[in-house]
Formats: sequence, C-alpha cells, structure tokens
Amino acid sequence: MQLPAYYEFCNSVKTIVGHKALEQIPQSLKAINAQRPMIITDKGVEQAGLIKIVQAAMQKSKLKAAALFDSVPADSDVKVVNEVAKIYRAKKCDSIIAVGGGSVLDTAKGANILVSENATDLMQFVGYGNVKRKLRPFVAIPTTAGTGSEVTSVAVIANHEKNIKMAFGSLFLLPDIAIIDSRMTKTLPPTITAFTGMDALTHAVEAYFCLAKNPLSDTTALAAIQLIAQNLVNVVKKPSDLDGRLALALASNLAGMAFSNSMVGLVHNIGHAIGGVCGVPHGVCMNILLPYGLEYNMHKRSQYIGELLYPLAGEEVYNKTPKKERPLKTVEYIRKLIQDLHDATDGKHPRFLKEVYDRTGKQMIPKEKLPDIARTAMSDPAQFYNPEDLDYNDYIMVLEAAWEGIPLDRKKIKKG
Amino acid sequence: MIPYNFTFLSHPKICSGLKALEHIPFELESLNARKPLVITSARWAKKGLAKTLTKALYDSNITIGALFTNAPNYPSVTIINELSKLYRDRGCDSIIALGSGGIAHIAKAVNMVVSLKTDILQCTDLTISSPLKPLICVPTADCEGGEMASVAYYERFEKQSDFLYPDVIVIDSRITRHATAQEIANCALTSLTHAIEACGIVAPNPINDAYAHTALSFIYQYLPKTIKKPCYKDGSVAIVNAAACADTAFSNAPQGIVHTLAQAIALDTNLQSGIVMGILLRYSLAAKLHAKGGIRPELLLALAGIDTYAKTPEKDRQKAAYDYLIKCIDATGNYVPTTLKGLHIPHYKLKEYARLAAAKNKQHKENEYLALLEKSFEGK
Amino acid sequence: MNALQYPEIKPKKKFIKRIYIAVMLWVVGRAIQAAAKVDREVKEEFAKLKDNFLLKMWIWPNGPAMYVGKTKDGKVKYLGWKDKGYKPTLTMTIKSVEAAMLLFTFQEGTAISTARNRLVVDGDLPDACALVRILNIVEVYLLPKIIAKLAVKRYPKWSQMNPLRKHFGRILIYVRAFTF
Repeated sequence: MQLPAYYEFCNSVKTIVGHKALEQIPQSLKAINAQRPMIITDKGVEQAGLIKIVQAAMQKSKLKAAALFDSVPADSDVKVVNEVAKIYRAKKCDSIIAVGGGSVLDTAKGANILVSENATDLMQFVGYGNVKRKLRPFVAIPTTAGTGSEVTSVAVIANHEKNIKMAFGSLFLLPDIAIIDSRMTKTLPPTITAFTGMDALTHAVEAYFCLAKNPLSDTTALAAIQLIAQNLVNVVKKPSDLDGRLALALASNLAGMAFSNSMVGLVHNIGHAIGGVCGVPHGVCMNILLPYGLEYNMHKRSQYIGELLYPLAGEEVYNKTPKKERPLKTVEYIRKLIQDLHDATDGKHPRFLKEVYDRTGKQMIPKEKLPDIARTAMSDPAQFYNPEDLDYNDYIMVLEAAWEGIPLDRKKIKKG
Repeated sequence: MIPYNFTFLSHPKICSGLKALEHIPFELESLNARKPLVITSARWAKKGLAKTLTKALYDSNITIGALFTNAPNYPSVTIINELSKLYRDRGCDSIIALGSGGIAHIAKAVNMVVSLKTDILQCTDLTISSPLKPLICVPTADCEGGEMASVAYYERFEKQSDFLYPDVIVIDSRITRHATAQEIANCALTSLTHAIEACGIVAPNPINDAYAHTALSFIYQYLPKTIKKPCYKDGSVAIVNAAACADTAFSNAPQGIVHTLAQAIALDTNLQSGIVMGILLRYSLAAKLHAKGGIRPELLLALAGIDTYAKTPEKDRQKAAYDYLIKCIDATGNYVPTTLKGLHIPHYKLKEYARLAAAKNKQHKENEYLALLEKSFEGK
Repeated sequence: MNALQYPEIKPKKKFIKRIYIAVMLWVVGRAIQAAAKVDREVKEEFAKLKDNFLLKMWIWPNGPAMYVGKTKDGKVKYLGWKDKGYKPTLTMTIKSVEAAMLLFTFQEGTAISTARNRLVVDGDLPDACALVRILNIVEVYLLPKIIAKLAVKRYPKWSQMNPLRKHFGRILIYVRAFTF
C-alpha cells in the first residue's frame, strides 16, 4: 500500500448496520442527549411505508417523533429548508432523523444549520468551512443503496427564486449517526437497485484511481467493490434477498466513505452535466460512463485500474490475466456487469446513452444535446480530481463513444 | 454467512504527511478554536519539537495559551488538576497533545475536566453525552496504544466514551522521526496486536476490517526498515498511521486475549505493554492456526497485497498469513525477547495474571489465559 | 507548578516567505491580465465569465492577497493586493504560507494542491473551472517546460499550436506582465 505524500481522511459518522439497526435509534439518540426528533422525508419514501417501519422501531422503546415533514421535493429548495426549520422550532424538536436519498439529506442538513446556529438566512454559511460548530443531533437513514450521502460533508441547496445553487462544505455537516437497515431498501424495484448499485460502484472505483486517493479510501473502496460485485446481480434477480440488500447498502456506505475523502473524477463530471442538461437520474449516467472514465485515464492509472480486477472478478480471473492486460480486463468486466444487469432487468437497465428512455418511452439524451453536455461538463468542478485533463473535444469524444456504446479509441486520447 | 450486525465509529480526522503541522491553524479555526493549550514532555521539548510546532503556527491567528513542556509519562490526578487550572487561567479553548503515551492521556483527562466542569475523579463515573473541547493529537512514534482511540487512561482508571476520540490527528515526519527503535517496536507490536484482534472476531465488520487492514499493511511494509533506522521519515509516518488505524479498530472491537493479558502484566511489572503483546501474540497466533476456525486468510491480503494473495492457493493462505505475521514480530527481534522468561517474569506470577485478566475481560476463561501464558513462558 | 515557566506565545510572521509569495501573486495577477489580452483561448474563457467576475487569491488567514477582476468595459484587470471593499465572486484560499510555498515553488500543481486540501476554491464553481484552465495556460506560457510539466496535468503539445502563438505569446505576456 502506498503512503501518499500528504492525505486527509475523516469519517466521523457513527454507522449502525444490521437487519434490525433501526431499533437502535432510541438508545443512540439518548446517548447524544436527544429526545424529540423530527423526521424529515419525501412523499415517495412515505408512500413506500418506510416511515411506518421507522416509527414502529422507535415505538418499541417508547420514542415518538415530535414532528414529521414528508414533502421534501426531488430538488432541494431553500424555501423548504426554511419551512422545515420553522416546524422544528414550533414543535420544540431537538434532533433530526432524515429518511431518504440525497435531496432529503441535503434539506435536513440545511435545516440543521438554521436551527443549530439560530439563524434565518442560509447565505451566511455558504461555502467551504463556514459552519464551525457542532450542529444538533442528526441521524441519517438512506433509502437507496447508492448515493452514500449519509457520509458526505457537503450539501447543495437551490434557491430557485434567485436561480443559484448554494454549496455548503464542513465536517460538521456529517450526520452523527447513519443507520443502514435492510428493511429500508427491501422494496426498491430491480431497475433502481441496479443503477443505484452501479452508482455506489462508481464512487468506489473513482475513489480508487482519482487524485486524492489515500490508504483508508483504498481499503474502504476495495471492500465496497467486492461487496457490490458479489451481490448486485443476485439482488436484482432476487429482490427479497435481505442479506444481499444489507450487503449492498453497506457497500454504498463504504463507497461513500471512500469518495467523500478522495473525491471523484470524469465519470461524475460528465454525469452531473447529463443530469443537468437532460434530467437523467444520477445513477443511470454513472453506470453508463464508468467504463469510459476508466479508459480515458488508463494511461496514467493503469496499475490501480488493474488492481480493481481482483475485487470485481475474483482471484481466478485475476490470476489468469497477465499483469499488462488487467486494466483492460477490468473495463471488460464492468461492461459485462452492465450487460448482466441489462439482461436481468429485461433490457430496462440502459447500457449506452442512446438507450436512456423516460417513462413515456422518449429518448432522454438526443445526440444533438452532446455539445451542450460537453459545455456544461467544462463548468463542473469534479474535473479537478480527474487524473487526466479534459478539453471540449475530449468531452465530445467520450460522450460520442458512450452514446453509441463503443469502447473509447485509446489511441486518440491526448497524452501531454 | 453471519449477517452484518455492528456499530462503527471513527471520529478523528487524520491529516498525515508533508507539512501536516501547518494545517493545524486551519483545523483549529474550523473547530472554532483560537487558543490551544499545548502539552508536551521535557524530552520532546529538548528535541525541539515544541519549537517546530510553535513555528508551524506562525502566520496564523492562533495564540498558544500555554506551552507546557513538563508532562510526566504517568497521568496522575495532580498533573491533570494543575493543567486544568492552567487551561482555565489562560482562557484556552482547545488542547494540543504533542507526543504519545501519557501526554495524550493527560490531554484527554484535562479535556474532560475542563469540558464537563467537574473533578477528574467524578468524570470517571459520568456518562459523556456531548462533545468535549477540541483536541488535536500530534503523536510521536512512541505510541503505546489507545492515544487515538476512544479511551483515556489516567491514574488507575480506564474511561471509555465515543467523545474521547481526538478531533484531529496530525502526523508529520518532523514529529514522528525522533523515537528510538525500542519505542517503534513497542508501537508496532501494539498496533499489530490491536489490528489482528479486531479482525479476529467472529461477527463480520467490513468497515473495521478496512482500518485494521490498513494498519497491517503499513506495519508489514515499513516496520523492518524503520526498526533499523528510526529516523526514516516515511517509515515513522507509516508506523504512526498504522497506530492511528489500529486504535480505531481497537475502539470498535471487543478487547482480545493478548491485549488483556499484556495490560495485566504491564500494570504489574511496568514493562511496555507492546513488548509483552509481541511475545504473547506469537503464541496466540500459533494456537489459533491449529485451532478450529484458524486465522482469517484475508489477513494475507492485507499484509502481502493482492498479487501474493491471489497467487497463494486457498489452503495455504492461513499458514502464509501466519508466516507474514511472524516475520513482522521477528523484525523487532533485537528489542523483544521471544519468551516471557526472557522478560524475567517469575513463573509463579502467571496464575495471578490469568486471574486478573479473567476478572477484567470475561470473554475468555481463566484457563485459556493461563494456557497462553504457559506457552509463552518457555516458548513451547 | 510555576505557571510563569509556560508563557503564552503569540504567532510571529515568516517575512521572507511572505515577500516571495507576494511577488509570485503579483506576477500571476499581472500575467493573467496580460494573457487575457494576448492569448485567444484565455480571452474566450474570460468572455464567458460573468460581468462582475472578481477573483481573490489569498493566503489564509492574514494574506498576502491578490485581486483580478473584470472592468466595466469587459477588460480583465489586475486590481492589486489591497482589499478595497471588493466582493469576490470566486475565492481561492491557500491554507497556509507553507502550502503557498509548495504551490509557488512548483512542487505541487494546482490539481495536487486541491487534492491535498491545501487549496480551497469557493464561490461560483463554473468560474472556478474556467479559472483553473486559465491558470494552466498562463503557467505554460510563463514557465519553462520542465517546470510547467509538474504544475499542469497535461502539457499541451506545441505542435498543435501555431508556433507564432507560442513564441510571440510568451514574449508578449512577459513584456506586458512586467511593464506598466
């Protein structure tokens, strides 16, 4: 294992993992002096019946939520944050339990800043390191096994009136407790399981080869990759496999730990842009772009990419493949994984950008949009951590290949 | 497969490597602190470490509230009270522990006193439920285990709480390269024991394993060279990194048989507990190798890397992992005898140690402890 | 315990390093201004930025600092090292004097410095991406290849560039940066 010249690593979230992890909420809250939690979630989570499960688990220790807010929109908004803070204060809550995906957690993080700092305007905390005090107790319960946002120290909240996005970064935004319980992901449909799993895989893979990699992000990433490779296809085929579900949720947590400390690169860079321009779900983009991110950076990171073959494919394949061919084999294996998921979901899991359809069957990423996407990608800061530089033509090259579904012509990649 | 069912917490932020010390002002500021009390020992002050740290705080808004350069290695109530008074008199808002062992534990105890605003002896019985004042650990390479964990040792007490983790661990070669080879051996053997015992438990915990594996990997890779040349910069940084990871692993797993016994012996004899652990670990591993369940083959992956692990046939992995671990212990050969007899521990004392250990850690029976002690005594 | 033995210590300043960094910040600021006039790519990048664009590059927490902004007529201008009540839209914070030394002695490029969490970019993030590209081009112009290669991720192949652009650009930027 390499010792980097300098690195930082922090994951100060208490992680509780198990088929019955939810039952530990009351005692964990008590240990940090909280008795009146407010549950924050969105309509989808509520309708899936997950809040009932959480409440029932809390009820076993006679703990009741002091308030429930269940209308977080898909895109976090500053107005909603203010509303949540208002309810929190009115009901005299003393802690937050956020149940849901990225947007719920971001909203909850924003509200927690307001109520802890006794502030009314989020603007004064925007930026890196402007939250400087321990916030109120905060429990995060992820309901998708992908984003890993229960262990990230950032939050993005939009102000739709002013049309700006406010980004917050501080270690105090990390939740106090993350609860990984298989019941929370049990009802995810196979297609969503597939792309959220690939989202987590992308976090782990990018964490392993991008610029801020470090010893602890390496070991957590490798563990995550192994768990996903062993469980993802099985769970997509057999959604009731609770042990597999728990393994995937844990993998997503491990991958979150890895990437929030070592950051991500090209795949997220372009993925954010496609999400922004065409509204494609994050995980779908990650899944399609992952092999291209590896191919594009291969000349600089071949050793690391080659090592990924082991957790992905297991020792037999690893041993059989000569060292020189391992990086390419890794990419091949990821492509095979995507194909397997495509087959397991009856073709609903997209393999290329042109295969992404919305609910009405309309193609979501028309080819004409690629230049738009490339331009947007040039303004996305995830590129900072990508090992190789990218200009407009490079983005177009990657996008066109990913659109058609052909491997990148590695001879055409510019090497400085 | 046993389903996952565990809790994991590693609170500290690690800043390790080139110019890490110069990150302290920024880290303090992000913890809303401006005036730290710095605690270090006369030995480290004489080596110039206090000066190095002071210089690292130049060009910032951080004023050192007091630079205390006389910390003893034993965290007594007297020193804890005196330092707490100094902290309050100077209006400090945070603590920097410059050094390992007693220094770090004194800092933790002082932090409890000033944060909970009570006497140290009362702290022992209190349940801590909110964060203490910011604490930054700047460890030297003479770690004794526990400095960067969620535990504080003072007088004869042992206090465990999630809030006893330091907030930031700053590892810089300018600080770590001054320990002696003997101290490096002690530090590495303690970390090795903690890491192995943390992954040796039955219930799977992949997060804790990730920390333990990082520790093992660094020890195997860097220990032999660092023992020969303790001022080797990268090596000493790696060893302290291993100690930090092992402390986390240790905090999240039940205490193991070797750790418990070594603590009992060290308390009685004033030997360094790492040295005792090194001896016991050797025989504990040998016993485990032949017992049901054996050694976890994944240890080989952590120690030797992916290539070697994949190449080794499955049935040989346990033995290979064992060999690698023994190699780590052997690297400290000049400083650690191979038997308890070599430490001049009288044979009649073994029974007492086994009894003490069994009283403290009920996971193992007294005769299990005794069996390991007997084996380690003559090296059978 | 005699508390007087353990005095309070106020932080001193590292004057020589601060002077070196101040000079380097001045050079970078002037060079950005010059490159914005000379190089087509830099010009285009700046044209895309918002009209109120104002960059603050500084060493946390007490400086030195450097400001570059767009004037009302859309020109890029180096605005000096003094804070005249500017409202930066983009702030590049270097966490310590030592981190700045690593950066300005080219031991760490901007990418590595960001990855090691020594250089923090705050504010309008799309502008930040443009600015990193601009800085890369400026570095390639100002520095000899052997050093610039360490500072940027991908050293451009000059063969892809007009040789005229390369040599004239370099000379012009030097001249404009160091004359008033």
